[in-house]
Amino acid sequence: MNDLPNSGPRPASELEDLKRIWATPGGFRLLTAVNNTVVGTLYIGAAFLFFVLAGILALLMRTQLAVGDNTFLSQDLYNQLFTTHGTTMMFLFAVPAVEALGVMLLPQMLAARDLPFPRLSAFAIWAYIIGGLVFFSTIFYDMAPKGGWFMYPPLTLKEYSPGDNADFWLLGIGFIEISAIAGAIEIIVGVLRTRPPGMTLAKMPIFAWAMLIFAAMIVFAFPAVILATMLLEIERTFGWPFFTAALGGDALLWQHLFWFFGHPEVYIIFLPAAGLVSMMIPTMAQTPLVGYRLIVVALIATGFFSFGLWVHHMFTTGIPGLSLAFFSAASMAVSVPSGIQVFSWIATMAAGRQRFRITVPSLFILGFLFIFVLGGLTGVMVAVVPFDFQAHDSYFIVAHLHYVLVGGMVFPLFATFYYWAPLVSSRMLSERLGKWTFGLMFIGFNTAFFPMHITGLSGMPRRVWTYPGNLGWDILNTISTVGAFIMAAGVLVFILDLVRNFRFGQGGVQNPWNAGTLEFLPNDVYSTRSIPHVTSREPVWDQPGLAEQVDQGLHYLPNAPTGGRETLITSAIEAKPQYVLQMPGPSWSHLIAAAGTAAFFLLLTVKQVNIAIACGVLAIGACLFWTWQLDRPSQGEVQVARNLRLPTYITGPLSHSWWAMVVLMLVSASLYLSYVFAYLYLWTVSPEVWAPAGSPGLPGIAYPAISATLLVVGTGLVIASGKMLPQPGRQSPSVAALLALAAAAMVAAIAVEVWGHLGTGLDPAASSYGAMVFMASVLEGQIAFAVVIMCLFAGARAVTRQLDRDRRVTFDNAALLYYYAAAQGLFGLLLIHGFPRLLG
Amino acid sequence: MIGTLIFILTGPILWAADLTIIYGAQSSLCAFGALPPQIVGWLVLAPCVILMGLVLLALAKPSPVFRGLTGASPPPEQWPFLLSITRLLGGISVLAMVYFSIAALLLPACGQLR
Ligand code: HEM
Repeated sequence: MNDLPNSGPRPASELEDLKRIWATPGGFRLLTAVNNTVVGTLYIGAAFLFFVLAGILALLMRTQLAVGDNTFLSQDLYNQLFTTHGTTMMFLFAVPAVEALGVMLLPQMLAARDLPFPRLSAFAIWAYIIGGLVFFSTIFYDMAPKGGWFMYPPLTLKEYSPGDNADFWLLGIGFIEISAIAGAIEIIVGVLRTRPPGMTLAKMPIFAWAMLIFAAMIVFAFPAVILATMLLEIERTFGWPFFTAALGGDALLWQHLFWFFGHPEVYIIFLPAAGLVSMMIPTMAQTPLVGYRLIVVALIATGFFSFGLWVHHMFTTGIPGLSLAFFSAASMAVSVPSGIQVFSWIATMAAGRQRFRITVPSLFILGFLFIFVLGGLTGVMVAVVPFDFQAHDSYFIVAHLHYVLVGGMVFPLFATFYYWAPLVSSRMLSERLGKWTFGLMFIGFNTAFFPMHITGLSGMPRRVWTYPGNLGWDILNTISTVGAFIMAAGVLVFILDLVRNFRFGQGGVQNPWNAGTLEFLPNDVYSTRSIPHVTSREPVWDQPGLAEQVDQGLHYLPNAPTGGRETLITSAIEAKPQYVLQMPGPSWSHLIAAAGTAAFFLLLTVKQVNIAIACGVLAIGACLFWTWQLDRPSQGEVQVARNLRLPTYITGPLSHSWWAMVVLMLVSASLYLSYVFAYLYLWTVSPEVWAPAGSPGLPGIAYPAISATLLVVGTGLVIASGKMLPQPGRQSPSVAALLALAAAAMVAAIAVEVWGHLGTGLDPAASSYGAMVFMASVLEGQIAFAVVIMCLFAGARAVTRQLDRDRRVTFDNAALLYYYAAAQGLFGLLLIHGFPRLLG
Repeated sequence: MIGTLIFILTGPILWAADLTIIYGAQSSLCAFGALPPQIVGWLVLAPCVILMGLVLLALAKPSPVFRGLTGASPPPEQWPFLLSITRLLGGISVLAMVYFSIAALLLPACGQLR
């Protein structure tokens, strides 16, 4: 016992402190809670609600399609239904559900008290719930988008989709993606920095690996679709012709940007589910995962390769054969890592010390394997270009996509519900009802979707509201509809099970499945009593007595030495303890910020610009109030173990906020790279509208020179203010003044750039070239907006004695974003003023 | 830390570079018809071969690559894990690049093929 980090028995006051500090607020104030178990459960609940709602839409569609020449639904309503069903399932159910599991399970699996930015997760969740509900409700007012879940222009341009329907998709979904990115930042920093001591990369649970890769993929994939939605919304509102062929735009640009996001998206949905399966199978087989390293490799390889597949959604758009072959090749390659995982799982089941236990989670996993493998096989079929020419846009695709999505995500999710319910419910879900749920869902799913392969091959196109009754498709469709209702009955039994058995709260059965990982250690609102020292991948199996030791507070941080919420930050690779992170608790501010942000975007959709701006200002105000309370002063060093004292304040590359800023910069850089791609792409498509020949020439070189100088001078001012930070406790108006000047320099740089182009008579609405030129400034302006706020914020703290040489995180963050924005601005000037000059 | 991540990802990063180069080069060269298709074909194959060679080299001599990227010697405790992940990822990336090369060898560079 003596080699444990702490000695016992611990004073009783420690536990009381932990309970008090981490208590979940009661009554109305429950809304302000940030504990991961509370907001995580809320998050999953909301995602499940969207699954049920979108499922009801699916049933309506299936009822309409049950027989030919049916008139139950009109064509227009059917269009709204499949668009809302697809969009809700993808953006409001699948991605949020797995992100929610990350928020809920990761801190438990890593024995962290919480993820590093609890209010950020809570903000993301509330923004998603409010925005999602409003988006979904458009179906009730005949306002839902109709362009399909991928919203291709030209169909979605103003001419062919008048009204606000499409705007709800563009602004609503665009902003929910921002919330997904916020969650991703949280997860990346959480997985890399809040692991327990000893949990090196090689000992990390597979789910944590999967979530790390999931979040990294969000960082690189989502910006492409955010850019695409910005371009389309701007074209719809102001007529900048990014997608209009007559003015040098190209509808295929949308497809490239959308699928550069859209294909990774399906792996974004699948990888976490695969991670969950890799956690449950070893428990059910009571043996470590066979081929841990291979699975890690498979997850990383899938994550990477999935970015090289997007053109396989565009096989029929007229791209040259060899280009298609590259993407066909990459699509074949991506099936290799998925195959590796499937074989690892089967091997683990076979290697078990005892027979693989058949519980409800195991049943769902077996169902997943069957369905997902079938979906994978049809995936390889459609990766073959000539086959895809035949199957494209037919019911074969509807069958394929549901086999991979429902098999690859919904079945693992239900396994997860049954397996991990004891973490947040004091009662377990029923094995008996669970078996019914599984049976109905499995039989229903296959009955509904297997026949669609045949309907598709016999020619039935997707997205049709009805079909003539004499083509031989009736009986297959009737079977599909019956299957859909059987599956729905399964979901209904699950809801019944929830109502009967799910009781939110701790105190349920301890480690009911005898799992080897940390989330089943004794838990309370503060997570585990102390943070264990980990020496293996299945610590609960390999470190006897761990649960008791942790519960008696014999490991790290058994108390709350700073008197507030806190967790341990460790190094990213070797998980060596580095410092104690002081975390914020419940608050209204992030909630108001979330409501304000959602209102801002949704009111813009219905063109209520003034009220929208008021809500935007409210949101920013709430964010400032929220962040003002962060960056608490150091509490000196505190004792976290017998022989270990750690600091409570860290700046620079070791700090978690530095990491979050770096991830944010990566997001901005991917957005900008997508823009650069779009610029060059439109040039290859329509060189005839490009300056100098096809559009007004560039402004004189003096304009970009002044702009660049302003950016460089601004950067210099920020560096200088960093050197002038005052001693602790001192005020520094000069730092504030320098930061304000730097912010002004950046704004001026953008103004000069825009002014120069306006002077040449360039019109953003006249050609895709003009639109692209001004778009560079729009993107720079967007980031400059954040820079200005952060510089003024840091300045305000310098004046109020809350920014000094030691306590400097707000300054460091502003400076980092400033450097990034200046670099992006300089690169933009080079592109906009250099490239056409290069062309001559 | 960042260096270590890049080290692990050597294979996939070079794979991504390969796809970007060959897809970008082939589609723009074909669009402008600047070069005869045979030459485009060779221009596509060349990066595949060079980048596969680079991955294999990195897999054969991992320690100098690690040092070059991180500025530190491989950490003895983590090394076996890091090395095996890097090598497996490199192997799978080379396989994927072989697939690209086969396409480049078999198909005409600029044909629509329909
Ligand atoms: C619960 C059982 C489900 C049923 C019965 C069902 C049924 C349908 C139907 C009838 C369509 C329209 C086909 C067409 O007219 O082209 C459709 C489309 C679609 N579904 Fe489902 N679905 C289910 C679950 C899911 C799930 C779980 C997901 C994703 C996670 C999903 C994603 C989609 C997508 C992306 C589309 C394409 C929408 C579009 O064409 O724009 N579905 N589904």
